[in-house]
Amino acid sequence: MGVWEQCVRQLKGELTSAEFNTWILPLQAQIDEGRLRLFAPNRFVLDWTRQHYEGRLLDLCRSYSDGAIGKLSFEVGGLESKTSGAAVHGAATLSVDTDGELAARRASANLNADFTFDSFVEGKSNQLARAASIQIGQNPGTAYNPLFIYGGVGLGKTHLMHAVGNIVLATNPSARVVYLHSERFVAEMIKALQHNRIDEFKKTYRSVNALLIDDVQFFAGKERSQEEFFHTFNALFESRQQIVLSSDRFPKEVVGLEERLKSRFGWGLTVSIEPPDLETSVAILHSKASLWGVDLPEDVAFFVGRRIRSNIRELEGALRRLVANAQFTGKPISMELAKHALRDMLAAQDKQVSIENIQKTVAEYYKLRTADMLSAKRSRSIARPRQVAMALAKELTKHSLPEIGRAFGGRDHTTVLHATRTIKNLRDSDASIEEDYKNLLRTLTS
Amino acid sequence: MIDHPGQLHLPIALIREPTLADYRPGPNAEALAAVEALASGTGEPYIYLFGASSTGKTHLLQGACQAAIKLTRTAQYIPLGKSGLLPSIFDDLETRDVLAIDDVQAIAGKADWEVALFDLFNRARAHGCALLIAGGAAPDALELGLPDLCSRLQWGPRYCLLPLSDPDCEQLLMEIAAELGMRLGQETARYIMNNYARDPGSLVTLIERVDQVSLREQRQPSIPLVRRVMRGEI
Repeated sequence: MGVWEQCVRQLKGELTSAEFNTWILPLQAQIDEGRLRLFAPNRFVLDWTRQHYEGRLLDLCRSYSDGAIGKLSFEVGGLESKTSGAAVHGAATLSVDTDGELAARRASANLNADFTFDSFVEGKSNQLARAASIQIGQNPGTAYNPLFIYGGVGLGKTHLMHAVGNIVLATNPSARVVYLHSERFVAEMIKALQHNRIDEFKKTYRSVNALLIDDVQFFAGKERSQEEFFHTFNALFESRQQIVLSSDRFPKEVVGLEERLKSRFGWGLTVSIEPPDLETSVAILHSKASLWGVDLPEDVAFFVGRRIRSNIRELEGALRRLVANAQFTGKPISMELAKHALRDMLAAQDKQVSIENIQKTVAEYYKLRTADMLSAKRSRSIARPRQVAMALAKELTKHSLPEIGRAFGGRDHTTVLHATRTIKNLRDSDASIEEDYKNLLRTLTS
Repeated sequence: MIDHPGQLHLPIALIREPTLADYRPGPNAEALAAVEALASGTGEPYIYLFGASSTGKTHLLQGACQAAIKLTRTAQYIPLGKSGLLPSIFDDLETRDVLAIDDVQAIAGKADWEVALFDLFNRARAHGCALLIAGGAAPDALELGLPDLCSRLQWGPRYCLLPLSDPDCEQLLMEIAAELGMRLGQETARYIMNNYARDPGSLVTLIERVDQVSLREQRQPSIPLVRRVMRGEI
């Protein structure tokens, strides 16, 4: 075992698992002429690790190397490039493109090859935005400039922007296209200012053929960024290069943006995307399922489409969960499977069942008062429902038996134990108790 | 200064690593399988875990990082509930293969953090970095101020982790005791289950404490001894 591996093993025993996994496990190490070089993913992790663990690490290194390693250095970076993670999406999807050069250009433009007009499902809610985007993509800089797409989150704005970029590149592989989220534009500008490379930054963005900036509402309140973007906009507009922007609202309604920017954003064509109607949601589900090679029955697609209406990302999340469950259980997708797999999602929220809720529900079910659950009365008509409630409290909550007993009028934990055993036996021998119990269980957990 | 490995301090308590292999799935077997696949780069690029405390979210996140690193991938665990962190901890993390972000509810309502996580999410997706995020509630119940972040957290499969059943907890109790070299009788285990919090975290902490007292006092872990530990008398 190497020196670093021994250090890691030792620190695993000394630190909490959270500390170890946050600060030590992610470090990469290389021994270089009596020095242990440690690589951290960023400056924050580096500074924290150095501040809290440098001394101990140096002691351990010296100890485990018999003094051969006497120095420690910290650097931002890593030893190896990313590996199989990219296989799932993003850059890897570009590798399936047969034209390697085009794939490389897409990657440098930050474009996702999966987001095309073919994979964008058209409906009433988005057909104008789609049609305008296709026209822009086929005639960049000449049709509508800028194209401003607005609408709520997760409705397909980003997809359309990538699709525009992809078609521009496919039509003209030498075109310079950049897709960027506004937050990254701001971050890159700040980095350029810090490193005295602002001229390079300006030149880069003012010389593209198509600039696609997502979520411009994030420019709000950032005056320096707005000013720089204003000049970038003017330069591109005057040289008839295409600009596509997106936001969560109509340009004039974006709070915190300078008026001169808002007015420019409205110079071209402004189109909205609305939440999908049911038919479009179902078509989106079928489109995704087909892309993943999954058989999605019509009734399940309608069931999911009806229940998940907020945005397309959540719709996709639900479908992914459904597919994962089908693969895990080895069963085909069906209504039964969908209801089971998506029950967490379909519930308004993760419903926490409380003892009070159980007492109230059981009392209502047996037409008693909740106070009867807590009373000292021992008649069968009250004692049995109370025992049912105690058994349900044990099954549905993580309260200890003494806590459950206390919640039922200060009873002893042995009473709870007795109640749960009694109900368990009765459920096996008395069909009506079994039915009551199942009904209550369903009411409390649905 | 410590000069020889043999002189290094080793804690007496067993080192309890939160690995995926050690995770007792109970009703969460599907979530475990999904996390294993994500860690190895063969599964979903993004998974969201939520559920009550003591259902094993942190264990799965840390286990995923350890599993990824064992496969010579790069990984980073970030507990957002920890004090002293700044949003710049997210800088350049899209270069990792796996990111495990815990306690996302801790940043709900903090605008700078929410924007930073939103930005990281976008970068991670663009760079093929797998994301495993855990929170105390489903994304739409987190009371996030940034709808863009909420919709991204809804993008992948989400798993609501459920607590272990009582028999599973009892089994866990016996196994931990056996690992510690302690003979815990069935009756004592049953006594603990009937009188103490029934979640794995509390049970493991209790049994480790019982082990320490049992060793110190050179006594078997009987019900009276366990009762005294539970009451905090020793």
